[in-house]
Amino acid sequence: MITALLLFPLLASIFLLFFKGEIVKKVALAAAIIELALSVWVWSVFCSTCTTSKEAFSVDIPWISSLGVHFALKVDGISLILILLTNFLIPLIILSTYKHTYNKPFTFYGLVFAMQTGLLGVFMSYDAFLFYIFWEVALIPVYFISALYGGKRRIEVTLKFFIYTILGSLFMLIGIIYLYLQTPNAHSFSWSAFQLLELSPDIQGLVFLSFFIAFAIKMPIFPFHTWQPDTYTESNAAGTMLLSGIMLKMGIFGVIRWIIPILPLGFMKWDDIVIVLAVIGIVYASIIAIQQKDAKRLVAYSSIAHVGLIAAGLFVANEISLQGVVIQMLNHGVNVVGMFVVLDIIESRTKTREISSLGGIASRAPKLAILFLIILLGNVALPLTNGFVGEFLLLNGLFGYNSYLAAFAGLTIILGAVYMLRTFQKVMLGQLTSTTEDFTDLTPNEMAVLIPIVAVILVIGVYPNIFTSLSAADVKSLVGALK
Amino acid sequence: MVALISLSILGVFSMIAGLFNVNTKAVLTISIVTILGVLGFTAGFHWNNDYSRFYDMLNFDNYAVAFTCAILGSTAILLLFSEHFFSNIKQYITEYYSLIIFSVVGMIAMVAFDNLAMLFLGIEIMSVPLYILVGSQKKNLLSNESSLKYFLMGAFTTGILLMGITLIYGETGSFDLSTIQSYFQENATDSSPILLVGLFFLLAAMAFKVSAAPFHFWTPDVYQGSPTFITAFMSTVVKIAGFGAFFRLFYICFAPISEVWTTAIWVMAALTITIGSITAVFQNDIKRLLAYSSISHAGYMLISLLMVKNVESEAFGAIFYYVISYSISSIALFSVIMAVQKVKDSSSIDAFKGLAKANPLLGIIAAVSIASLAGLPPTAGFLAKFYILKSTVESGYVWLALIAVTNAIIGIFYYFKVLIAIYFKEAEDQSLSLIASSLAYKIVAVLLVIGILVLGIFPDLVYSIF
Repeated sequence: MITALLLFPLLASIFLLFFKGEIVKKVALAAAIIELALSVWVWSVFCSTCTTSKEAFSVDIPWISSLGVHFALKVDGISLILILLTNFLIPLIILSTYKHTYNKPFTFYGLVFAMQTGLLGVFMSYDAFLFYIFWEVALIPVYFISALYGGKRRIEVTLKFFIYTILGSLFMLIGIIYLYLQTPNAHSFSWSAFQLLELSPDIQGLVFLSFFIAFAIKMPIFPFHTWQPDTYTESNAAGTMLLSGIMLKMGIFGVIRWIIPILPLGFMKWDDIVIVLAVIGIVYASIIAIQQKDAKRLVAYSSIAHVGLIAAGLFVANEISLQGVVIQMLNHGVNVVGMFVVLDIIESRTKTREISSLGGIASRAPKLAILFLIILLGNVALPLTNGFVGEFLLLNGLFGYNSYLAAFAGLTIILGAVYMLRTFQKVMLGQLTSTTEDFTDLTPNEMAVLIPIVAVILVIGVYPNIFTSLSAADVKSLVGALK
Repeated sequence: MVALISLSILGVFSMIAGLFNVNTKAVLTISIVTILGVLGFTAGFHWNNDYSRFYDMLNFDNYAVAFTCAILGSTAILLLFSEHFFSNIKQYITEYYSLIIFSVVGMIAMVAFDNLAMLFLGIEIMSVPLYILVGSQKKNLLSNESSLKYFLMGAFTTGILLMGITLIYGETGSFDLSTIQSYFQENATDSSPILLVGLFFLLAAMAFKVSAAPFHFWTPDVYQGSPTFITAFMSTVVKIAGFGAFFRLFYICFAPISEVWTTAIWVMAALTITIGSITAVFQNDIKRLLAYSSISHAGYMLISLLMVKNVESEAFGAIFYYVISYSISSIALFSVIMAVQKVKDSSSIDAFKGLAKANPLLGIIAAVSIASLAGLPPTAGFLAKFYILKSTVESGYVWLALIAVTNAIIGIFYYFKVLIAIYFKEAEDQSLSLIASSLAYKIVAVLLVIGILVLGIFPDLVYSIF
């Protein structure tokens, strides 16, 4: 069942090669919706077997016998949430690209599905070698998506992004090889074999660093974030959504699955430093965001701030903060994609992202204004939106660790309100400018993208239990691993 | 043995065919079929069936058979890809074939030798046709220069190789590999100056042939100046043979005294990888870039020589997998270069701008082969580097692994310069869309691309044969 879930996008990406012209868009959307339906089915089965065995949610097939690599997959509550996030966002991202025309559309959508396979593989794999392969496989398509279709400086910027992330992952590879060689004879890459290793704290600390650099670059945690604002700004809208909505969750998920249970002593050795870095990142990125003139760049920096809070909660690693991490990963993915969808709609009509040259859009497009406001409030964590649930849990967990740091990190909500509400005011309210004069309201297509996003924001804000109940057991066992 | 005889006959045949103006297509077909036939015969009859000839001067054990098959297979693929290159050449085409085949005969002797005299003979038989082939564009100044350079340096190295063999003979009293090996086993602590100098001379001569630093200086000039087809031949098939011989000599023969030379190999490998990849970053000519990158790859392959303490089958598997994946990826990339050179005179990276748009098939071949050379999963090149890294860490050379990894990142940078030109830049003129390839070319190219991916997903097909 989960193998089908993993391989379906790959088949879809090959299948798309046989279509030429605009029909590709429809086929792609259909395939993405089928994949979403598949994952909802997996979700329902997962819930109905919550109390019984989870045999159906793992796969283990020998693959490369000379290395002891297995094609091993396992879905637990946390990875299920990320799988749902991925498969929920991909159809929306595809639908949001309907208004653009791409040179060779089958390449574009094929790459999107190839990337989806990589992402799902990262969230499912239970074998470190397989994990590494999927980790890279997710990177290559998004590099092409961003470098083929994007702004003027896209080529240099995406190359920097690519080299930067590969740099991290190759050091992770050395770490993986080291752990592999520590496993008993007839070495194995499997997660459970890694977990049984009993390494000294010093060694764990070193291996931790090799993994952490890869994950920190991907998230990104300050000071590893320098690739991110440029890449988000220069990529095309879909590339930015894929990167910010889903890809950075790979780093967070990597820490949850591959660092905490396997290198608990290394984790505890470094966690204080990482938390401080993450909190610095929150404030630093928020302050820079306030200064931005380009709306896309502003969202890019705000994303660093939000992820900084997630990272801080992740490394505090008590039960409340980890629960917050899981739910906030979902929220951040939905909210940031919502923001980028709105920006893409505005940009495609006005041909600009300069905040100062926009204004008064609400009077021309009231529907857009309302939906944008809800997404934005989700981002600033207003109660009854999803952001509130996540950030509350995260700050609560951080408070349990150190109240001063929590107060400092809490600035994110205030600063976030500053730049988000100011953006809304400047873009949506005020006088119409020459660029926004002929602004038209949302088309049905665009409504179909934004309404599901807004619905999720409100549903999670009111009743987060749907998702928190999925991951509660896994979060408990994670916290147990650290004791 | 059958391989050596039938290929020699084939070489003579195609040379005579040139005299009588036989249709070159027919000669090419006959050559490819014969090579593939010999490949099939060698694999079928000699596998798991050790076979010595000439008083143990040649020994076709599994190692030799595997490398022979790799050499023959790569040559056949390269010849299949030769249409773009030979369509620009008017005369002496069959002479090219025959020289290549003679060179291959020498290579087979190089990977199957069991006697230092045979090693010398093999290297010479391989090299002399190469000197001619490198200089085969008589009117091209660069080609002449590189031929002269390669010949002078090569001749000098031959002298050093002979001197090394003589000194080893003086110390051990034999040319025979197994006798030398058992001498070392009995006198493991032997560190007489004669032995050390002899060993160093052999190391230098072999390092020259595989262009490992600090004996690599000829490589960029020769690779750039040679006709592209010959560059492809030298950077793939010749490299397989060079490493086949290098590995056989040191891993098997000098294994008992590995303490003496592993440090030297360690330093050479680190130097070779670093010099190759850092210099490659600054190149604007694709042949020169690939020359430096091939130096860098030679460094990775050198690392496999450090695995003397590992299980034999793992070490054989690692080096063999690396040469196979490196050579098929390089051949695929060179086939694209030859196709582009058919319509453009230049080999600068700028000549490749917009290739993917003008000719999607060539774009895909280039993308997959570059991904493989750069070591990205899920291609063969990734696992090749993975096996090497794994055994490096396993043997305790963690620092060397870190150097290798750092250079792998630099490698991605310069390989992507080419990929970016092919995919993301606009073409300057329309000439690239004029490249027309035959059906045979397309089929072989697609099979090669599939091969690179299949090897990357099921590496045991090659890795576990020993």
